[in-house]
Amino acid sequence: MFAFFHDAVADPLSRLADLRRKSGRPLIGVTPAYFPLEWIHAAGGLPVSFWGERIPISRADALLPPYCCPASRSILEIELAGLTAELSGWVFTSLCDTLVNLREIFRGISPRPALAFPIPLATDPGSRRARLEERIPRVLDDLARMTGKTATAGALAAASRLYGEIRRLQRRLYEIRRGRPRLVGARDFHAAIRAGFFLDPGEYRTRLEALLPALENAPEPKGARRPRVFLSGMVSPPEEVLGLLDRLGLDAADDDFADGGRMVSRPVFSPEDPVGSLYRVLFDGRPCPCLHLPGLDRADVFPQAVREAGAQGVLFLPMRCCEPDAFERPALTARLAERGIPALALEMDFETLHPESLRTRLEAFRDLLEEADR
Amino acid sequence: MTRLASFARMKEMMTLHYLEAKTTREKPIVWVTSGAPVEYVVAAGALPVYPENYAAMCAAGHQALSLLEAAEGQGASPDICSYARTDFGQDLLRGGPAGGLPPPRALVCATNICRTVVKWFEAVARKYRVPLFVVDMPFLHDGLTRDALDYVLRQFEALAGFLAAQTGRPFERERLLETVALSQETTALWRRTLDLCRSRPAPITALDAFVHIAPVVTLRGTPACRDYYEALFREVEGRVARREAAVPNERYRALWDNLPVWDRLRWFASFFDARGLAVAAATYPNSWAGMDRAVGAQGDDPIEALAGSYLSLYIHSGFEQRVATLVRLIEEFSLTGFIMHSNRSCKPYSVGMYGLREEVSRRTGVPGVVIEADQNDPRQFTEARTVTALEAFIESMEPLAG
Repeated sequence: MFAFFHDAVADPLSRLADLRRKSGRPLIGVTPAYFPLEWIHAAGGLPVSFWGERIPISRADALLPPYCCPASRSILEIELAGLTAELSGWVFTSLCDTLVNLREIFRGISPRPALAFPIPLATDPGSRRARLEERIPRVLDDLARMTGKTATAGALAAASRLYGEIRRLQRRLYEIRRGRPRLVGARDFHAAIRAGFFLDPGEYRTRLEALLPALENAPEPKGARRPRVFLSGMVSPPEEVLGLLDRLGLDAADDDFADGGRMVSRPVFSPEDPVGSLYRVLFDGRPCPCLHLPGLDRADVFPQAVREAGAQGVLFLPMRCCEPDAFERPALTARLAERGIPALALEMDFETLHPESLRTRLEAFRDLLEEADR
Repeated sequence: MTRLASFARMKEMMTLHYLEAKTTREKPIVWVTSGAPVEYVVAAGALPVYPENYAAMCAAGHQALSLLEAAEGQGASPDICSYARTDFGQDLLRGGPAGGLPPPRALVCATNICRTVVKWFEAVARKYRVPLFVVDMPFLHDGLTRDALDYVLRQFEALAGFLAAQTGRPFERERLLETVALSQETTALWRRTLDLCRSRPAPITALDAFVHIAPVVTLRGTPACRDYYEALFREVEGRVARREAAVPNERYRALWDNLPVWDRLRWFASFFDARGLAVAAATYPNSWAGMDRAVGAQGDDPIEALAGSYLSLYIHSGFEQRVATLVRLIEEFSLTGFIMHSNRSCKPYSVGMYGLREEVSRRTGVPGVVIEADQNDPRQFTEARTVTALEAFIESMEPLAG
């Protein structure tokens, strides 16, 4: 059922030329996170999202210090290595200090334009909305210069429908997993989500439409009950780690990755209510540590999300050197402990990760959850 | 380090400030970040307290390590800013030179120095259950723009309302204007003091500036702070007139980019003194210099000028602007090289630094060196590695030496 999705995420960089030729659209590289992909599609482009590739870092070392996260380092590496030559441009949000400066580095080293979309963090909601209202036309203008095509109202509405439909299907996939996590392994599940970053959205929608009924009609897997976990972190881990969870009998019931649950919980942009919908795209849904959400403390709502997923424990998989994520973990862990929910944190470094080195700790965590369930 | 008579006065000012912060019953305590528009806090009748300044004091007094370890023992990741970890540690142990900071009534932070401060202050807000006001300042990729100014000015208005609610007193615009005027005078005096280092020999060094930065960061907008910088300016001006050198036998002149390594200030001073290297300029102290002449200051409106100043910080600017600033400083201060501190705790300053070094050297013909360390975490400093890098750097400046 998932072979197509695994194929799509296996070596996406080698397929960029094919993707550009088949779609007939200029490819736009998207860095983490929350840039409305439907804007790019409406402007005649095709978004290709990069969240960190597992490749050896050599060239990026000359420009980025080792205390930058592996996602930023690998994105710079693929650009410096010429693996993204098929792209017509890049878009950056102001998600964190590293990405803000990475955009400046790209302006110096890349022949492609690098668009900046600042995400407002003002406490004052009026200032936030005014800022978004002022930014929307400017970013769309910048996109038009990148793709050579203006995003008309009609194109925005069509893109909004297309991406809204994908979002609906992805949410359904999440619901199925929450209900029957054993049915969809973590490795398969995230391949199905990640594939959307490297496919034509029309094709991706069609594939999801075919997958969901097959899953819904699939028989319940047999066997003893296995521990359910909630996965948390900035970026979903490499597929080897996800595969290890499957093999060790830890069922991922839900997650709040920025390239997973956080993204899927957000609505898409709507041209009928540009400011309101963009506000919701950025600030509604599962809270992200990179964003300031006045009146909402992620630590307060996190245990509830875990409970709603039916998870018995939380597996934090933080990306090395992701400062916003690291800031919140003690508070999240404390709130979980208050509610008797066990948690384990395993740092993810795409550059040096040996998944098997995690096995012992994951087995111990699984045993702990099984014991608690008896 | 240069012996300045003003040092004792500065120490007294800072002691009195922390004494007032620990004992006041009249003024609500508002924790602020170093790039926040503190003039609003002062004008509202609240007392600003800067955890960043306190963290630096802890490190300069070699008291940071135990605080860092205490914070890490409670789950703080070594990946997060060492100022924040020091702050969490002082809160746990009531540590540092003032025996810990007074608890805040409210928090004000601005994103013009980093986005890290938002996460840091969210953690403080969570612990103390106090309100947080974030002044978001858009990164200036291509210089100051009208839309950025408008966004910040709108938030300033909301900040006035927030502070009025916290203090229970109406916000007085007249008092704000008086405070802003004092800030402008103070930062102009600080700029003029730093500019005196264009003289050869340099009357003070950037390492001295790092020490004397404390009042302008902490107390700008007050008459006492203005008076202090008036006195400091006169003292340094006198040294220029008498050709008193900060570094004996000044032979090389360099710039320091990024925050200092606080607990190694004296080590660096001794190292540079022994080799005739005067660090005559630095980007960091300039962050609070010359708010009277903000880049692109708008007309005669002092609040717009204030917003422009806070938006135009060096580390909040695109790389082309940063290169231009570094090149200008190298030329104006007749520098023979520049030292870049790749500071693990400050990504806005440090990410991209390797490329900036290449570009600045290309444009100026002077050598630059990058040293790896951390502003507040002494465990990130390796003496042998730093000595090797700096000695090679000094050798590379030889053809330009005076």
